[in-house]
Amino acid sequence: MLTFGRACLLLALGLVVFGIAASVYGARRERAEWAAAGRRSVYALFGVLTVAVVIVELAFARSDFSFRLVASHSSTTTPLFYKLTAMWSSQEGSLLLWVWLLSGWSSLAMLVAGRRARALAPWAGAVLLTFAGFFLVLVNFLAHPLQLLEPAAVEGNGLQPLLRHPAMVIHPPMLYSGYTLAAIPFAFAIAALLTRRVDAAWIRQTRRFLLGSWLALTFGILLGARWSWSELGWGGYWAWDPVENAALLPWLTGTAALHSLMVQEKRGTLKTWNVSLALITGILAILGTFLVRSGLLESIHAFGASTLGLPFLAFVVLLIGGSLTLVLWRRDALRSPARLDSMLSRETIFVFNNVVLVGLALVILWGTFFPLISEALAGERASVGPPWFSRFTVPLAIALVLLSGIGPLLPWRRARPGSLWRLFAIPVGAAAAATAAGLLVDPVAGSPRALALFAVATFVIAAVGQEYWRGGRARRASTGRAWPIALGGLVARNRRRYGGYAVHVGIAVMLVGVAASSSFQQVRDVRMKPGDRATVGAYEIRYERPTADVQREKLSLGAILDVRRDGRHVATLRPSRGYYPVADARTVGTLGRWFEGESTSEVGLRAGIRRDVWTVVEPDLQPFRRMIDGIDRRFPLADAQMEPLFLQALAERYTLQPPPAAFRMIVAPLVIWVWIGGLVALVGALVAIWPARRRRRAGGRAAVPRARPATVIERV
Amino acid sequence: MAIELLAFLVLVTAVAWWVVAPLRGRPASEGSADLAALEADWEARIAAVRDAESDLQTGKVAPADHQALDPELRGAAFAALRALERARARDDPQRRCEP
Amino acid sequence: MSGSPRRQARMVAALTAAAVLAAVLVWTSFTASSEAVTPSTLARAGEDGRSYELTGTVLPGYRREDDALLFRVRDRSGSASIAVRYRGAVPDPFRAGREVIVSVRRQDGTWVGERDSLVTKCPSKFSAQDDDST
Repeated sequence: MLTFGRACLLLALGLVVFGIAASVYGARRERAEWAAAGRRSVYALFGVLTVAVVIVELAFARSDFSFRLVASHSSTTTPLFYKLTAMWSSQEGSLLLWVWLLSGWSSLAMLVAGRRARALAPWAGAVLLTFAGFFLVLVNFLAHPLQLLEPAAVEGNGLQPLLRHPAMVIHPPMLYSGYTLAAIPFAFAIAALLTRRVDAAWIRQTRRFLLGSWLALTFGILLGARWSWSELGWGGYWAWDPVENAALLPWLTGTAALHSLMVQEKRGTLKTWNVSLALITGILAILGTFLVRSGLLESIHAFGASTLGLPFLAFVVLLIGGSLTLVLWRRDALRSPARLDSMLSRETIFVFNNVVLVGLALVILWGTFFPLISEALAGERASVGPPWFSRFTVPLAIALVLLSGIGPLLPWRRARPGSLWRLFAIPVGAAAAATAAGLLVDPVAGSPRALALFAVATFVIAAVGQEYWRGGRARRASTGRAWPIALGGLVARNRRRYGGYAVHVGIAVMLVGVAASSSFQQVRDVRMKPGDRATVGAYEIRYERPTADVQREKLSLGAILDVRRDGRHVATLRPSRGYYPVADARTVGTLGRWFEGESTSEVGLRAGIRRDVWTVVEPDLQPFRRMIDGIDRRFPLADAQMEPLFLQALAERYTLQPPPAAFRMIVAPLVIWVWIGGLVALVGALVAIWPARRRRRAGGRAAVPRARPATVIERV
Repeated sequence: MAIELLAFLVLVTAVAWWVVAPLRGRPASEGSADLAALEADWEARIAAVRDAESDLQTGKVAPADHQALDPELRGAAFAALRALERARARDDPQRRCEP
Repeated sequence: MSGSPRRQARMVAALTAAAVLAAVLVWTSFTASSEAVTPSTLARAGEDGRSYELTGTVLPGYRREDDALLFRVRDRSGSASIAVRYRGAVPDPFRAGREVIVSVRRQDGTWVGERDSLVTKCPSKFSAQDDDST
């Protein structure tokens, strides 16, 4: 099967070459049959890559260690769920996943646009196939997922323990989906520039894919943050790490594009802005992939330097150069006679909103690449840390949230100054009330930035609530239906608008959670033995007793903690540390191998609506070194029957004679609202992306979307 | 190995046959490439009419302002619809030109 | 003011604001940054009171002393090493042989890690060649 799989990957490369040639020929000579053949190449590419992916997955499922990939990242003891998802824990497998997802989304884009956008689709298809071709060259010649291991290993290395978590399983496919979906608007922007069809047609083909990219990136980023908080032992969810920033950058420019596309659809302006944002978002998606794999920047995620840095850099340079050339070449076509009517209009707020989003992206891009910039300019490599990022991103985030509340309140085209009081009174009043309340609460009053964020978030929630209220009331008046049905109908008829409003609320709520949990967090590092107490914030935490658990693949040493507030029991936390053995005991010994491999923290977490109580433990193994070394000397290579006995003895010793352990304890307010806000934003995006029903005429052709009754045709 | 080779040959043949199938048939009529642009324009015009109505119903604009703007928006939407229907009729002569 | 001069005025104001903000960005990044150094560079030219971002590989033999972690960091390719005393969160992947990044400052002749600044790189997954070490 390995040979068959390798042949499929070469066939995929052949399809790319033919597909690009057929699409370009079909586009240039206006030969529909060649364009159709190019489209079929895209579909066939997806099919052939699916075969390759299935071959890899079957090898993982069967634990076929003649596949080097399987031997390196799986084992017979790895649960099936993690076996099937181990493919993307490696360079080679993740590249295969990347190009497979790209081919899938490209097929969908061609299916949707193939007949409706005949002028654009072939060029867009050629661009998407070029992307796929780049990744297939890497897969076939630099990082092949189907390499033979001879002789086949008896047992595999197993999956990195840090990745044995559902969030870490879903996180990469979500991010890759976000990146690959961003290639669709990029491709159609290129097609629009090449064909000079820079009107709203290319937007219509790609809007949903851009929103899909945004949705996937949001989900992926949230999953990574959540995993970091609930699984890792450092007690945070965002570190301004270069690889984290790499996912945030296309999210920011994609958000800007989603808003300014609306302005072009409605007013015919911002053409240059829109093609540029679509191109930049696609380039940033590749840049993010480059950052992860190049080892160019120091990162907690830096998965080691590889040979792929240079090809990625070359590809990024090609994308930037080509995009810039096209935009300059077609600048005449991008000019629009239409102008924005008024500063007091929704579209103007969108423009300000986009300036802030692009500003955020530039700040983060600068900070992320600063080590390289400083080395180039000043001769020494320097880096900026989280405080630097916060200094700029916090004010910009406050401005962004404020604008996201102002936009929904203003009409398109023009608002009269006299109407502003009627539109803004309630949201401004709510924000004022929130500010007043914040000034009365001790830690909040002392943090102007947190206070400002709470105020603008309240403004947004009140503004969106007012929009739902007024819209629902109008719908109720016109239909006579009950409130829930009227609201449902309102949202169903205006999915983009009201789904988008929900996204605004979700983001505002998320940022409230971020502001509170980062500004008012209380941290305590303490060494305790059983019976000891420690105080963090308003909580008293007592170390009740140690725990130890011996499993086939993991030894866990931990603690049971009793958490009390005002004398009342609030929670029981069970933090622990898991130790995974190295495969080869020859150099480290029977017991030693359990402490020379990976170790992971199991966080003791009590999540609440108002605050999270978070703990991790690091057991002190020094008192057990004599025992461990003694067993290793006498039984250097113990068999499968003896080893569990030794582990059990160690576990018993730990529970009966527990040494003091190091605990980190954190009380962080409103963390849960980061996840709740994120969920609200995701639901809002799903509502916005959901296609409206279209009535079909006889013969199967989709009807032109109808206006509401008694509108266009009857009245003109 | 022989089975894998045979399976691959079958796959290649099937894929190649399917991909180049459009080249074997008679060339399809191209139709109007501007259909997508006209549909996009129509959708945008209709959305503008709806947005203006929504702005009126939610109190963002005064009735007088809406009355001044509405005929312009509806006129543009109607013109876009007529252009689209004409293009569709050119594309498919069987289709009756319906409003 | 007619439309065009007003737009030009807005454009000038916007570009000026952007230029000022960009200047602030660049200035603060150069003044607030920490120089990235290796142990050999630090040993040779490290200055008291200045913050550095030390990168290197953890040597075996690290230990805990009360609530502090004492470890040595070696050049990635080389033998020069620096001793660090660190307090704060210790990432799960931390162990001998792993690459770390930590912000350090010299105090009383000892390189002290800034609280919660220790970062351990994930074990190499995307290396040029597969290695068997986990």
